[in-house]
Amino acid sequence: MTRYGMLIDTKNCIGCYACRTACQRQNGLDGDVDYIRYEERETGKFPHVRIEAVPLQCMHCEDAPCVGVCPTGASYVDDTGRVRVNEEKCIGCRYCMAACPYGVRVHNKATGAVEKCKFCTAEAFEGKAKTCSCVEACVTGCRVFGDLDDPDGELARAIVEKNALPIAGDRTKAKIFYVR
Amino acid sequence: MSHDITRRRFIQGGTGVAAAATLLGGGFLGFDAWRQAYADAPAKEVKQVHSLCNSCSSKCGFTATVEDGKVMTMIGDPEHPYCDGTLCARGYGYASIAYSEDRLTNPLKRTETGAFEAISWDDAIKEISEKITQIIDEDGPQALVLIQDPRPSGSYYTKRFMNALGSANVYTHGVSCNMSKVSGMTQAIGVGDFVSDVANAKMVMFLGRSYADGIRPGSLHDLQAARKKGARIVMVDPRYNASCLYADEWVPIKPGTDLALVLAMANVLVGRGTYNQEYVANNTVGFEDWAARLPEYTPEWAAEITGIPAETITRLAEEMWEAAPASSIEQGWRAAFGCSHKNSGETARALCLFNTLLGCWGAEGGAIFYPSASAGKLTDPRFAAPPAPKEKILGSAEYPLAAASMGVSTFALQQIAEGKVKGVIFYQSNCVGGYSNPKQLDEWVRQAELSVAIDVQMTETCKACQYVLPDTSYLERLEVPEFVGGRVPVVALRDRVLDKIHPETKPVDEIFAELGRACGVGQYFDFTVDELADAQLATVGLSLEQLQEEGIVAFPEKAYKPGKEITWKTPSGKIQFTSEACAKAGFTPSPTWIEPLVMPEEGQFRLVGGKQTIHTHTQTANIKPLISISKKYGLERPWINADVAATLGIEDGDEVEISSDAFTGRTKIKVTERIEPTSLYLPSHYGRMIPEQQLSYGVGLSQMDFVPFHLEPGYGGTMAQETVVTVKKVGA
Amino acid sequence: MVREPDAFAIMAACFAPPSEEEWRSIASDRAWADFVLVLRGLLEHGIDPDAPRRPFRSKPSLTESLSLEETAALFKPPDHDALTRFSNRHFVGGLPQQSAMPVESLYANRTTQGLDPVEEKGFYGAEPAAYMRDLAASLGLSPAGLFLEYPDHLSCELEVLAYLLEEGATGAVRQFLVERLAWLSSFRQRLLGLDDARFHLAIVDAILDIRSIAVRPH
Repeated sequence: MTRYGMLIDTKNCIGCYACRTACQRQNGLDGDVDYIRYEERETGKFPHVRIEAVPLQCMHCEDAPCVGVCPTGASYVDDTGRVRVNEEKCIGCRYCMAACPYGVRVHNKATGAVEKCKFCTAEAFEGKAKTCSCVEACVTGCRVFGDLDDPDGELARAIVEKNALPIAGDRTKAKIFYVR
Repeated sequence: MSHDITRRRFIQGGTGVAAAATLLGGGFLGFDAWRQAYADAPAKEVKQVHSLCNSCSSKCGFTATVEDGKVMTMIGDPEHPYCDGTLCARGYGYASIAYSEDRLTNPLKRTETGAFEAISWDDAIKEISEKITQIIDEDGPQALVLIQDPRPSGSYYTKRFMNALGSANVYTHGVSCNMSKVSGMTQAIGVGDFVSDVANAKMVMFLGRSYADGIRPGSLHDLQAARKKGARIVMVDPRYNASCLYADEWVPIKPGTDLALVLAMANVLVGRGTYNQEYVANNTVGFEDWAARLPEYTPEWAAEITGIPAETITRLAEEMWEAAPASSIEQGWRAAFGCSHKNSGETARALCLFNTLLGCWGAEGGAIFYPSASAGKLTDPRFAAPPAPKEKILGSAEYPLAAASMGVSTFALQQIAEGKVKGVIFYQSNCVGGYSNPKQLDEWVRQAELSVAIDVQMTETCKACQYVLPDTSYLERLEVPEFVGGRVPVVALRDRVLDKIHPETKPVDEIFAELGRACGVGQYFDFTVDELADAQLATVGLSLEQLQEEGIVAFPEKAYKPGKEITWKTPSGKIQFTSEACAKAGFTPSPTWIEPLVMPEEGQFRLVGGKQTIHTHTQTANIKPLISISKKYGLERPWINADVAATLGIEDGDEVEISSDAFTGRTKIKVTERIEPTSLYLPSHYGRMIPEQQLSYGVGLSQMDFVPFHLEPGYGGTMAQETVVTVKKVGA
Repeated sequence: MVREPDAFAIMAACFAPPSEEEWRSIASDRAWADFVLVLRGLLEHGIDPDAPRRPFRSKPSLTESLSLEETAALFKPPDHDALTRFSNRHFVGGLPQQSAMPVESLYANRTTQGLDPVEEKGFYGAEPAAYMRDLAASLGLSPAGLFLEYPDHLSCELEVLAYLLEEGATGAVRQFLVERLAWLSSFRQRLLGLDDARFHLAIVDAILDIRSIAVRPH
């Protein structure tokens, strides 16, 4: 059974925002509708400093709070484990935005719906099309996408080798794993 | 009396609603019904087009998928050396310029009230060409000046136009970019640039350059490769820049003092005799002159000036020698010595000489020269170049070291006030906003008898001009093929991704062809850009059709071969430790210490600029996908050192007032540990104070507003970082 | 004689200046007076020929829809030179302090709910443009000139409206008016920011008022 997930290696993330604008291009989004947001951290004291940029987007949680609170059933989980939004059913009530602990859902004025990362790179992964998804577009190649249920696949192996973990514990059973 | 006012001008025909042949089976189609029908309908026209990004001068190649006139996907070309398969944030965002509300749609002329009004192309071309002819008749062709940021078609057509008129005055943006670097390097090694072989290096020292900020993806990939191999990467920079992710060591330095660091490191190696003596003996002239001047430049001396501990300077020199010849000081671009300081040109010169001590020229992992490719000679007489102008570019006498291919554009504008320059044309250039003090440049441009700006959006430069001519966006143009040097040289093409969007815009090639014809030099513009492209490609065994199909064609036979003998295009045929031209221009024959023009005193800061991955100069400030990022994350905020901020009672996010002699402005500040204490960093993309740039109006401050008008002695650079400011909390 | 479809064609001409000769015949005293009369009627009863018509009041009903200044401007149309100069100053792009391009796509995302106008930057060639192109095709019309370049230009939309009115397709006219001209309330904000736009504001406000009648249920 396919279970899509992603790995992001922040040790290789330069915080360049290419994933944000590439995602907007790929998904036809207006410039201020961001499926990907960032947190940046600075540690240490001059001159011994370190910085970390962390891209955050829909974690496609297995235990997704947003799906639970959706009054119309617009938010649902599909058969590849991706959390989806049926725009026609969405009434824009924004309950899901409040429920999401990662703050990665956005209200899109153009469609009136609340949207988020769709793991659109699955299309490229499945060989159906070339995309400029966040994964394809990352300048440093710090993202890996794949099927978590494929033990020999690049994603599963990378998660194990690099000891990648969800960003905030196992609370929602997030499916994006971070190397930090 | 009947008035025939029923005639409609924009729609004709119509067979009546009831009988209307329909594609949708209903005649009139309401909006929602249309949306439903078309939401999942396949696009009527899908195509893939290869083109070149225009977000910056890298012009990365990409393939666009276009559906019904909209760019859906953009994928960086793996073969283009600068993107190496991945575009940067700007690439995807800047494409939105095509349909942007801020596009210039018509030729404009400024009226007496100062407001712009649309005029016809015929009138614009007529008035401009008449003025040009008058200027040439009265004052000669050298009274005309053209300033641009080079792009494939722009470079070709502007030069052709100006030379055809007899003018040599074609300038680039070099004064506020990398002209001092190019010029200084030329004095040492005969060319204005080299490439550190980062991917294969054992050690690379970067002076101010950051591949992860002034982003060029191909270079970033090389840096990643270097780290994977265990290379030692040292970032010498007033700021802990984004590339420090891939560095072993950040060496904070007081900006403007890189020359002292280089001289001190040379002092260490030459003093101890730990340098490539054989290489120096066989390949250089004038070494003794420099060797005699180095002893005073001890690490202790340099520590005082740079803020870098003497032991660090000594150690860095030792490490560089240890790793030689697979080590080098990286070539830089704008950063520390492209144009920013009084000693920029000489810093570039000294850098080359230090690399010479390492014997790293042409060595694997050292400092190498990539091969290039170019079109062959065109035999068709239509393409014959106009005769070379009799005179040299204006400013070459006053700034003899400035690379003639770039010229001192700001000096040329100064000559307007002197009455020597009467007409100025700008292409793809926000000169007034970006090349030096905007108020001063605006004043001079407005004094010109003729001023014309060719652009896609309103800028400070357009505002200062009498005429503004609308270019198409880069996505709507075919341009002259671009030959790109690299490990494997390629030829790439900017092709028409979109059909022309605004009917009264014209691509740059047509603009100059029409101006040329109106000015009586039409014989040099007797071809279309398609014909020119095809002819150029034919000389390398290709055709336009072929390149449109493939996007990029590589020349593997020209690929970089290590160990190839280097020919030094210097007067002596060898690397020159001493330069006669430099001596003539008032410098010491070999480079010695030159203090920056200004030094911040207690309570003052040096204002330094720098690049961000999402912007290019002032060009992108009004592009929604890019400026939205700045606004969301406060990226327009200047940086101040945390300890210094504490002494001034400033906290992160406070509103502060920044003052130089030239300007005072207010903005919110970022307090950080990532910057050395004497610097105030202001990212160079903000502070657009023209209301026409609506999205960015009032966002942040512009570095150039603070910078007094300068010309670097001998080299002509803008000296943008020779600016001292004070900072205080607003309300304090 | 000016009929109702002609009135919309005349209003279209205000936003895309025709030849001097054509404008002279439109703006001549007699012709213009006819136009204003028809406009008054439209403001009274909207575009539905079957709606009950109220008798004229003794006072001009224009001032119920338009301000005094606008009404005055409406009675005195600009001459061709002034109309062209206005168009050359404001119906061009790239000068947001001056520009007021009457193209629907630019206003597609805007609301008039006091949101920061700077944030609501528009783009050409959005859905309205695609819709207008397809609509012209489905109606069997041949686009020309401005319609080919900016199908969602106000002048083009008004001409389509005139065409539908002429064909007697009342339902279509109402739907088109309601759906396609809502953006004029954002556009008028833009015109308000100019210092010489009273005449065009009068036209826009008149259209908005005619539209508001169509929006109301019977």
